Formats: sequence, C-alpha cells, structure tokens
Amino acid sequence: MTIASPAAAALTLEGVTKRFRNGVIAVNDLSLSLGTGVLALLGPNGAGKTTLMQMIATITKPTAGRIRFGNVDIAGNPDALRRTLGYLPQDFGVYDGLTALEFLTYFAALKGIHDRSRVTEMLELVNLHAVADRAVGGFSGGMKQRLGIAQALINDPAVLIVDEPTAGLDPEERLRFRNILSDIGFDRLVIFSTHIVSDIESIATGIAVMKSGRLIATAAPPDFLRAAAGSVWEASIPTARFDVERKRLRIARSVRTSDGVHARIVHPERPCDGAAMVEPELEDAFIYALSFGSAA
Amino acid sequence: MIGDRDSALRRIGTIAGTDVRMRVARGSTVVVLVALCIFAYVLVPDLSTGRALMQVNGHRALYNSATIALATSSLCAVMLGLAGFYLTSNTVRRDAESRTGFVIASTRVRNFEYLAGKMLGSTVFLVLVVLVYVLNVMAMQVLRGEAPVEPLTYAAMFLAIVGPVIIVVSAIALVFECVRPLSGRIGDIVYFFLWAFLLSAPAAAVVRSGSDGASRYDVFAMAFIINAANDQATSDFHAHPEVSIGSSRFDPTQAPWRFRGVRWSAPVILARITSAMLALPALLIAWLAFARFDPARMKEGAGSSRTGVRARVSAPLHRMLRVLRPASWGGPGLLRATLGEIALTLMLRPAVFLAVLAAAIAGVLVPTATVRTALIPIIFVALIATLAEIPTRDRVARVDGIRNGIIGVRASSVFAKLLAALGIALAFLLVPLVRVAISSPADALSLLIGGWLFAAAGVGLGSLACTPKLFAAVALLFLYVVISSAHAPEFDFAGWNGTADNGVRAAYFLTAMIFAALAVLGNWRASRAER
Repeated sequence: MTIASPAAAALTLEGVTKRFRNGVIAVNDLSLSLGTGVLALLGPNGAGKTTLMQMIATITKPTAGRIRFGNVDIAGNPDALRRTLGYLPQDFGVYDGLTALEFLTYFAALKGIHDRSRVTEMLELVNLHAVADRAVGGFSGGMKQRLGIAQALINDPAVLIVDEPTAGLDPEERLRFRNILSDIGFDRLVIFSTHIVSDIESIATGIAVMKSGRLIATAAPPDFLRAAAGSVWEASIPTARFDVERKRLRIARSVRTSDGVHARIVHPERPCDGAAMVEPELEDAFIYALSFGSAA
Repeated sequence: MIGDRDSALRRIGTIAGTDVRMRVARGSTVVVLVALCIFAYVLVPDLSTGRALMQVNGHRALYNSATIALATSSLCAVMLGLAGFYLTSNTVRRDAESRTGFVIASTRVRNFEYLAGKMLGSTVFLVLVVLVYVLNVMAMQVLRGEAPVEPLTYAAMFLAIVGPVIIVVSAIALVFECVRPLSGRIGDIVYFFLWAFLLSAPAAAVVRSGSDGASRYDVFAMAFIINAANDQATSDFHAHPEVSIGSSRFDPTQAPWRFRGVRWSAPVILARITSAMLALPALLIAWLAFARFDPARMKEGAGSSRTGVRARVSAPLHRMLRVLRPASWGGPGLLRATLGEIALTLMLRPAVFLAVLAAAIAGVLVPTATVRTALIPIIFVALIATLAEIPTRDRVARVDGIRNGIIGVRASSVFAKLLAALGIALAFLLVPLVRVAISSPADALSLLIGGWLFAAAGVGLGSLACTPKLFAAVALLFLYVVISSAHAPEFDFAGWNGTADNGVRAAYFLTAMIFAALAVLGNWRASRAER
C-alpha cells in the first residue's frame, strides 16, 4: 500500500513484522511507502500503532521485513534516520527536578543542538516561554505534553513521529498543535497516531488504519471518505428498540430526543426503515474501515 | 572524526550534568546531607566525653589530620559503599519510567555514551556528597582537633580510600539497573550481600595470611587501612597491634599515640588504582545487558516471567489470595483501608505469603537460640524488601491520583499504610515473638518495638523521599551495624542479643514514632502540593 510514489518515498516499510517472544504478533507483514505530508495512523487499542512507531523510531527492530529511509535500511544503520528524527512517545513524562529550559536544553544537546536561541524558539512555539524557568514537576499534563512536542521538534526533523500527542491538551492547545504539524508536514513526513479522528481531519494528507497488527486501509482523506460513501445513514430509532439495534448495528453517534434516538449508522446497506443516506465524515470512514474491511 | 569524538564527550557531559542536577534537586539528597552533618558530629567524639575516634592497643590516637582523615574516610568508604548504591541505582529506571528513555533511544546517543554519562553523573554526585562530608569532618577537627587541619592529607586519604568506592559503586549500580533480574527489590538485597562480601573478604584475607593479593579487589580499602595502621603501630609498640576505628571509650592514663600518616609507595597507589579498575568489567556487563529501552526486550522479559518457574509458583498463590478482596469487607474505613493495603501487598508479591509461612515454620522448628541469632535477622532483611515499596507503589503505578480522589482515602492512607506495614511485620514475627516471649518477655517487647520501628521507618522514609531506596539503604546499613555490634546494648533494637534495657527500648520506640510522624508529614506535604 502506498501513499507516496516510491520515487518520492522518504520511508519504505516492506513486510514489517514484530513478533514478541511470548508469541504475540504486534505488527504483521506491513508494507507502506511514505513521502512528505501528515500520515494519520488510526486504529483501536492494541492494533500495533505504538509498536510500528517504535520500529520506525529505531527503538525496536522488526523481527521480519525491512524499514528503509531513502535507500538505507535503518535496522543496520539507524543513525541515518536518527540524525533527522523527532519522536514523541505516548505518555511522555518529564524530569520533575528540572526547569522547562533545562529539560529542553538537555534533549537539544543529546540531538547535537547547542544553539540556545533554538531552545527559546521552541519554548515560544509551544507557548511555554513564560514558564521557562519553572520546575516542570509543577506543570499540568498539557504543559508537559507541549514540552514533549518541543523536544520532538528541536532538531527540525525531516521525519516526525508523534504517538497520541494531543492527549491531555485543551482545545486551544490541540488547535495550535494541529497547525504546527500541518506546517511541518508541508515539506516533511509526519506520522501521527491518535484515537481522536477530529484531530487529523483538517491536516492529514494520508490515513492508515491498523487492526490486530495489520494495515487494513491506507488512502488520502478524500479517497478514504469516498470508500465509505453510500454506507453512512441517519435514522430515528424508537427508544425501546435502541438497545437491540445498538447491538446489531455500528452506531457512530446517537442523540436522545423526545421522539426516540437519532442515530448515525455505518452500514453497507440500508440498516432500517426510514434510514436516510448521508455524506460520510472521517469518523464514519474509520468505523467503516474497521468494521467492513478495506476503505481504499 | 575529531568532531565526532567532541560530540561524544559533549553528550556524555550533558547526560552526566543533567543527572547530577536532578539528583541534587531531590528531597532525599537533603536528607543525606543533613545525615552527613550529624554523622560527622557523632563520628569525631569530644575527647572530654572519654571517647575517641581511633585507638591502638588502648592508646587513643591524637586528633591530627592523618588520624581523623584515615578513620573518617574508612567509615565513609563503608557507608558510601552501601548507601551510594541505593542513592544512584535509579538513573536508568527513571528514564524508562518517564519514557524519556524512548526519546534518548531514538537519538544518535550511543549506548556507551549513555552509560558512561550515567556513571559519570553518579560518580560526580557521590563526590559532591563526600565533599560535604569531608568539609564537615574538617570542621569537627577545627572544633575538637589537637593539630592544625591539613587539607592535602584529607585529599590524599579520601582520594585513595573513598575514590575507588565511588567509581566501583557507581558502576555496580549501573549493572544492577541494566541486568533485569537484578533491577528490582531482589537486586537491592543481593547488593547488600555483595557489599558485605567486598567489605569483609579482603580484610579477612589480610588478617588471616597477610595476603597482598586481596589488595587487588580491596574496593572498600579495608586491607589498605589495616596495613596502613598496622605498619606504624607495629613499629611503635613492637607488638601485634589492636587497632580500633570508630567512637569508643579510651583509657585516659595511657599516653596518646600519634599517627603520622600513610606511606604512599608505588605498590600502595597501584593497589588502589587496581581496585578502582573493577569498575571496568562492571561497565562492560552493563553495556552488554543494556536494552536501550527496547520495549520488545522488556516485554520478552515480562513474557518469560509469565511462563517461568516463578510464574508457575506464584500463579496458584495469586489465585488463592484473591479471597482477600477488600471490597467485600465491612468495618470502619481505616480498618478496611489497612486490610486493603495488606491484601494488595500479598497479591502484588505472592512470595511474601510464602516468606511469612516459611518464617512461621522455621520459627516452630529451630531452637530458640537460632531464632534469635539467625531467623530474626533474616526476617528483618525480608521486611526491608517487603515494606520498602508500600509507601511508594501508588505513585509508581500512577494510581495515587485515583486513590486520593476517593473520599477519606487521602487523609487515612498514611495511617493505613503504617498499620499495614506493622501488620505485615507482625505476621513475619509472630512465631518468633511467641518463642522469645516464653524465655524472655522483655526481649519479646524489644522485638515488637523493632518490628514497629521497621514498619514506621519504611513508610516514613518512603513517604518523605518518594523512593523505596532510602529506607532500603538506611535499614540494611543499620542491620549491618547491629549484627557487627552484638554486645552493644544500644544497637539491640529488636532484642535478639538480649542486651537491650528499658532505656534502649524507649529510645527505639521514640525513634519509630518519629518515623511515623515523618510519614504523616510526607503525606501532608504531598496533599498540599496537590492543592
């Protein structure tokens, strides 16, 4: 599956598999070519998103297959990617005893950046410059997350991998962060995993859906939406019948009203009498891909 | 190429510098530094009290720089050998737990650079701790000494005696963090025995046969100190000298003995350097075992433990202990919370249940003398491993926020933890208590107080320092002193030597209450920080 032409691909994954010694296969025979842009990696918990990102971030090696950055196999030469990689892991923590400035300066130095103005610039970018000299132990979850984002961007990476980066951010911070990623994705590769589909709606140039370690769909957002066209419905279901219907159908969202439950349903055929076909949204397309196979 | 080397050194320096900064900012560092001030004050006794720091054949050593530097550096080596490990053995784990390790693993930092940086950070931190200690000791010489302070004498002695300890302990701490089976509480206990071996084996070899070979692994400088003191004492007294280091009563009718210092010959210096070199194989082991935060290697470890011998033993125990579901219990909130803490301890560590059972069976089967001299000390070592994590496990598992959100839990949690720790201590000590009580009720009271002391210290030090390491270090060091001072009533905290009197019992009970107060203070401080 490809969301970039192979010639333009920054990263190429060929038959990548990660099997743990206890037999669990976290990622199974995954192939993908990635150029510049923002790739949204979607999938339920346990789908293998984090393990895939860790393999791309050179933290763990595939047990089979290859990951190439340009023409270089990163298992054999991880530094080729590491020198230009930004990575924000899931549930990123901080060193409580350091100030924001010290914390960021530390990661900058590890990445070979010794320019203090770059550190200041990043603190301004994530809106932490006013608290640069405060110990990060007292920061809120959102502030810590923003500091994590700053460390990922500090070396101006060509490949940026962010795992659930918007968790803990308030709506304003999420918007700010989406804009940052969108700007970066213009001429670089951003791989962004999330559960919140609305986070990627406005910025993703490609979408990949994983389920049980496999890649079940990759497409550009318009194609992804197109694949779900004709499979999204809205219907008013009597309250008494709703519990039964909820078990039978994939309901994207529902609102209780005085005349029953107004439900948005993802289904390949008309799910019930009175259901009206509607234009799919990204969330619907994601549910469609998970429930009814490939979306593109 | 030169640029690369420069970058590597810079990265090592950055890692070390940041590590030191974080350690210095910790609450437990303040505890250590305050303890060092008190320690220096107690260590160099005022001669008017009839006690001296060092004696040879009943002659107290004159308080000059050579004497005070030799004695205090040797005691520092012993203490730092143990405490230094616990102070520095959480540096890789901190990166793993905060997940900053993943970011480091995705950079061009080499494994060697990372480990060298971490080791250098630990070394510099321990050097800072020793510097504070030396300054305190020198201040004591100004106050109580009988000769001018000679800073160079101090520098040479501490460098030779404590230098290798700092380097080797920093390296061993890294090994214990990188080798998975040694990276937990078991490792803390294993290190205690390694420390005891490294401390006693070279000294025993020198005493037994005058073996020079022992100096090659004389990390804690025990053989070096014996030789240094013996050399001059033998020529001064023309007899086999009996050297005593540490505060003890002296005979004021005997003339003071003047220690002139160590003769720094090439073999002596080489022996100290060779001892420090033991850090190199340790670093190599750490480098080979370092997983570079690869979650696959960590999960494989966890996976193998689920299918290994340990898992086969603990799985049925775990099932059996499910009956201890605190949710189904009634009773007052504090009682329910206490039973919940005990149940959680047993469910998280089913081996504790086996250990309690083993202690009870051994308590019934072995003679009373063995209960006192062997079983009770072993139980206290097991208590250190068991109690150390009770005050900090909620924070480590990041469930403290959830727990504290439940009405009344925040206020009662510290008392529940104290009572749970006491309950577990009593479960371990129950049969020995009965056995001791039959022969000596007073010693049984001491044992009860000893159990309460460990329970309170475990929760108090853990709550205050937010790490189980401080309690483990302090308690193990204390146990070592207690076991080495079998005839000193002031150290018979649990009555196993039968020498404690009511004054000693009252003092340890008071100390336990102070630790309990520290636990309440730590809890109050944490709740204030949350507001």
